[in-house]
Amino acid sequence: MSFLSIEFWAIFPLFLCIYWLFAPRPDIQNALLLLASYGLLVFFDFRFALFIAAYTVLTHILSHLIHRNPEKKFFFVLSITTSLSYLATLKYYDFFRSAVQELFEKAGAGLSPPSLELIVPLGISFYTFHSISYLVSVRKREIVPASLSDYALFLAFFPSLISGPINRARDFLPQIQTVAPRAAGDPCKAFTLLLLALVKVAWLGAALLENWIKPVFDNPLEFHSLDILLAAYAYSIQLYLNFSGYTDLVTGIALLLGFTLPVNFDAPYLASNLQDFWRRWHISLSLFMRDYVYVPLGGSRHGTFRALRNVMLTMLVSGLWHGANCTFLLWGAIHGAGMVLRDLAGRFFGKPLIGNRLLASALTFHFICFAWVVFRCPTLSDSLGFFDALARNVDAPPLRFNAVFYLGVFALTFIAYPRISRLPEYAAEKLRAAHWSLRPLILAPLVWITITLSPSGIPEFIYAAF
Amino acid sequence: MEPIPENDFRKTPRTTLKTLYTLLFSLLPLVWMKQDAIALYWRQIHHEDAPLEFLKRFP
Repeated sequence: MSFLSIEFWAIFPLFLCIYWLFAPRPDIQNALLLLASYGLLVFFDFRFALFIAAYTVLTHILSHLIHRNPEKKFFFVLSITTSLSYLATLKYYDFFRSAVQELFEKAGAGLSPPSLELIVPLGISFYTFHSISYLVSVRKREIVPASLSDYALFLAFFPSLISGPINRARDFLPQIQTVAPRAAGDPCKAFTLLLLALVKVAWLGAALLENWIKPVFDNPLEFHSLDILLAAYAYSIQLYLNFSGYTDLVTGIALLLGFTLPVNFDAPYLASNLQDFWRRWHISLSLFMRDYVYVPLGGSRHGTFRALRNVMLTMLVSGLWHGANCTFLLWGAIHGAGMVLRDLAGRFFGKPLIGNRLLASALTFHFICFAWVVFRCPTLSDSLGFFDALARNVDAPPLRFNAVFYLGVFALTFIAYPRISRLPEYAAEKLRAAHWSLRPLILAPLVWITITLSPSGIPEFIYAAF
Repeated sequence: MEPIPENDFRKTPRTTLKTLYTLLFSLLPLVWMKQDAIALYWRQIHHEDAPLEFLKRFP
């Protein structure tokens, strides 16, 4: 059930009314949320609920063992190994099996790893990371082990279960464990975020996908280079609109439930370099990778070579996290190589190579944009075909999309982006200024216009596949 | 359980009721205006009439 579906919005207001009837009792609200979160999983496949339940009980027991034996590192290592094995087996087994089989064949060994038909549980990439954050916090004594029900809700909390953001235990668990009644946090911000999500995902993102991205990526050879360039830009924008729109949606839903989710985006295409981009894009994942991969690898503590190696390894892990496919690994490697080269150039020349901020942002955007092509194409040969058509189709076939006009629109949008990125806060201010009884009169027409302009169908969330 | 702070308890229902009012009264006109699209979607996905078919009796 998509959070933008009619079914969800038929059930959610009713759920919200029941949920707030128990405002004086956060413990009952938690039970309702847990029930709703598992209900959502059962709606997709009851096995998803069984997997997360078993994983929750296992890691909860391990967290108690870590807490009771602070002097023993063994239980911590065991719990992290258990979490990573769970993720690796269910999400990556087939990927590694094919790679190992290929190696065996090349070596002439007549061995073949067993084939397992495993289902990938919904939200596995996110709830295993939630649990790792919890286990690390218990180990560091930042928190004491939560009750089983609170921990179960921390892992399964439905707004952030399917596509994040990635919650940190030390920040999010206290919101679950509160004994003081919750308040629906800043409703005007919540409604603005919900409207913004609809505009980004259902209208703009879906229109870009339908009109430019899908036709060109499906068959780039049939399009002119400028049309292909337009589609590459369009995909970068659609990915941002889709994922940040999704984050806006779940942040709005969480606010209506009285919870605050971490910030996940900060105008990422305004970044002036790749490091800056990763401070602005999927922030909760970037911080997770920094704290739980880059720093444990040694960070920048052991000289330049080790620091750059750690950057590269972190980006490879980040790439692989997105999916069991070589294209994601390559995408991570491209970003890692870009960051390493920039760092080396900075050390060699002693200053940033490009001083002009707008030019630096434009170059960074193009690097990211072409790396997204590798991210989107299902195979490496599809990516090569896309770039080949982009380089060769300069004279023919004829232009189809009025590309020059739309490239101008994209350029203007890019220049005006700092102002555009402040619009949501401005809209929330305006909604706050209106009398509460008149707010539906503002929101309903805006939602109606957005739905009417949107292509038909329920848009898919790209990151739900990861 | 610890005692509930009095201020929060008084504030919460008011904010919550306003929030629920805004949500419900933003959605209801949309359901009314988009009833044909909803009915079509429901038939395509669930292969049965939408639960809102009774709205058609009203102008």
